[in-house]
Amino acid sequence: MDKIEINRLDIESIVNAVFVDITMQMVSIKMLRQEKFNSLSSTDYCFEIRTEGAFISLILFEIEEKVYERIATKLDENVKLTIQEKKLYVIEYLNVICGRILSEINDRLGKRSKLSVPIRIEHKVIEQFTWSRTDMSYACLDGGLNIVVYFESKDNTKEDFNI
Amino acid sequence: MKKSILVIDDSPFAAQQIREVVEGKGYTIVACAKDGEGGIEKYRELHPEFVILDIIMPGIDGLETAQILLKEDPAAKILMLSSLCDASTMEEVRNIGLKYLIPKPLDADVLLATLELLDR
Repeated sequence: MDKIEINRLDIESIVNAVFVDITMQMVSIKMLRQEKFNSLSSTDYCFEIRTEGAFISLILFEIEEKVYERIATKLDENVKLTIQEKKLYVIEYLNVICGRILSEINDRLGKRSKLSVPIRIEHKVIEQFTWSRTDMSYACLDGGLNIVVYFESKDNTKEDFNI
Repeated sequence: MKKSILVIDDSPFAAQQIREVVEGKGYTIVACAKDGEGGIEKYRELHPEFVILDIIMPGIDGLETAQILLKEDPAAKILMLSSLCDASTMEEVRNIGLKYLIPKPLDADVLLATLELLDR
C-alpha cells in the first residue's frame, strides 16, 4: 500500500496550534512554546494516547506536578477535587486536545483515524523507535509540559482500530 | 415539565459541564452513564427524551452505542458530543442516522440550540 506522507512540521504546527488554543479555552492557561525541547526535572504525570487508522501515532504528555494541579483546579474552580477526580478531569482535557488534533489531521488527510482514551503511565523513554518523532516543550507560570508525538501514516482503506 | 436527558460520557468533567448548562434551562439530567453498555441499560430503564452521547469511551464507542439505541428505538433523540469532530466522523454520524455532532470543548449556546433543533 502507498504511504501518505505526513510532514513532521505539519504535525508540529497542528499540535501546537490546537494545544495552545484549547488550553486557553478550557483552563485559561497561557502555554508558551520553548525554542528547544527541555527534559523536565520531574515527570510525575505522564499520559499516553494512541491513534489508529490513517494516522498512526503515540502521543505522550509529560506534565510537571504544579502544572497538573493547576489544570485540574482550573477545570472546576468551584469544588475541591479528589485525587481520582483530578486524574479524570485532566484525562478529559487531554482527550479534548488530542481529539481536536486528530480532527485537523483527519480533515487534511481526508481519511478517518480514531484515538484511545488517555491513560496515565510511568514515564516512558522510547529508544530505537523507527517512527518519526516531533517533540515540543511548553512553559507556563506553574512549570513545564512536554508533548512528544511518534507517528507514521499509511493509506489504509481497511479499518484496523485495534487500540 | 422539564425534559429528561441521559448523559453517556466516561468523563465526570463533561457530565458536570452538561449539567451546569442544561439544568435551569428546562432540562433535567436523569442519569449519567460512564460507558456504552451502562448507557444502554439506563436508556431501557428510564426512556429519557434526549441522549447526549460521547464518541470516545472505553468499551464500545459512542457510534456503536448510538446504533444499538436506534435499533431498539428508532425515535431516540441522540446528540453526539465529541472532540473528534472532523468531516469523516460527521459522515460516520450521519451514516448511522443521526444529524447532530457538537464539538468539545462544550459551548453552552451550541448545546442548547442543538437540543432545541433535536426536539422539533
